[in-house]
Amino acid sequence: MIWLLLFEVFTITFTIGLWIFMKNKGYKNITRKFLILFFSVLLFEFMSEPMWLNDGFQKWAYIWQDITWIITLGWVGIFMFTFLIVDYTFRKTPEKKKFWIYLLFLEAIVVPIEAGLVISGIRSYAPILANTLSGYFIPLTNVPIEAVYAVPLFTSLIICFYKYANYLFDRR
Amino acid sequence: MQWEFEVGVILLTLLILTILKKSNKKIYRRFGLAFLAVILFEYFTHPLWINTNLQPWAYLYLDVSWIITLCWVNLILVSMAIVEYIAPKYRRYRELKKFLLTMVLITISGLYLEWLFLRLEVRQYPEVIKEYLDATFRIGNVIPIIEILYIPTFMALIIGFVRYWELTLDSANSENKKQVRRKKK
Repeated sequence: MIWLLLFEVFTITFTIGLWIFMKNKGYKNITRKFLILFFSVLLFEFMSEPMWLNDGFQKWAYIWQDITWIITLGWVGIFMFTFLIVDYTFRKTPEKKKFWIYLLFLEAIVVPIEAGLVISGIRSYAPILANTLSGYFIPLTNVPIEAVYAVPLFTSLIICFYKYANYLFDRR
Repeated sequence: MQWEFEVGVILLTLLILTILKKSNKKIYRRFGLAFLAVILFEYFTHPLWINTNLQPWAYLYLDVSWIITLCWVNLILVSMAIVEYIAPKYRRYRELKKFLLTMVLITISGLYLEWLFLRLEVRQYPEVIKEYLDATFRIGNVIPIIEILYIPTFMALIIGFVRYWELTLDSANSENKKQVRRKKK
């Protein structure tokens, strides 16, 4: 499946590219930050695993049931990219306002990606979730309208956990 | 079941808030943050659970119930308060130890709360989830290991949300106070 191969190569390259970029720019504790973010996303994926189907990956890509480290890595890349862009663009903005900008930025990135994943057949929704959806879609996509408010819901929990976990390590 | 469970939870919440107000002046803020975090989480994962046998006014959206949310919030508030009470003993790694200890307390009490929900029949699982739980290893042939993992997972995200916002708001407040002092000078 060509889509899947492209997705895998892009996800791994993009995330490693981000790591190298941050290393060259002198960011501190980069590996730790990536690991915390990976763990934060994994926590959420573990909780919501019965709701999603991630099909077609090679056996080695799956960590547990439907959870694949490729998708988790993709989320890590998206979150880290968002933090970099927002933190750079809104350097002087207080943290409590920046949080809302993170959410807006993530919403703008995630919805088109989710549409791409659904069209390519990589991502689908389990009946347990599909049965609760309204049946409306985001115009010009096949993404359920519920994604518009579901994305900020779960990303807000992940952002907070990531920031708090970093604070815990920084204060050691 | 009649309305006793719902009213009992509301009264217990009021009692907990009244007691904790003495040791934490910002308890209402913590309560609001914890409520918001739990409701976000419950809304997102609502297809995984069925909250049933509650009064119609106890539901917010589909089967997401603010009474169930209050139960989790009470558990979080009490666990955090207990840990904060004994925390001054820790000189090093204070916040990290507080977090880990809170997680241990919440995991143990959360398992009892989930068991209580099941006993009172306010919580049920969809067939798919039952099959899912049945397929996993059970500790002592009783508790599915997955449930022991779910509660700390869920709570780590919630505690992270609450503490992140508490720290952010506190630092914003102290920054504002500094600015006011500078202006006065």
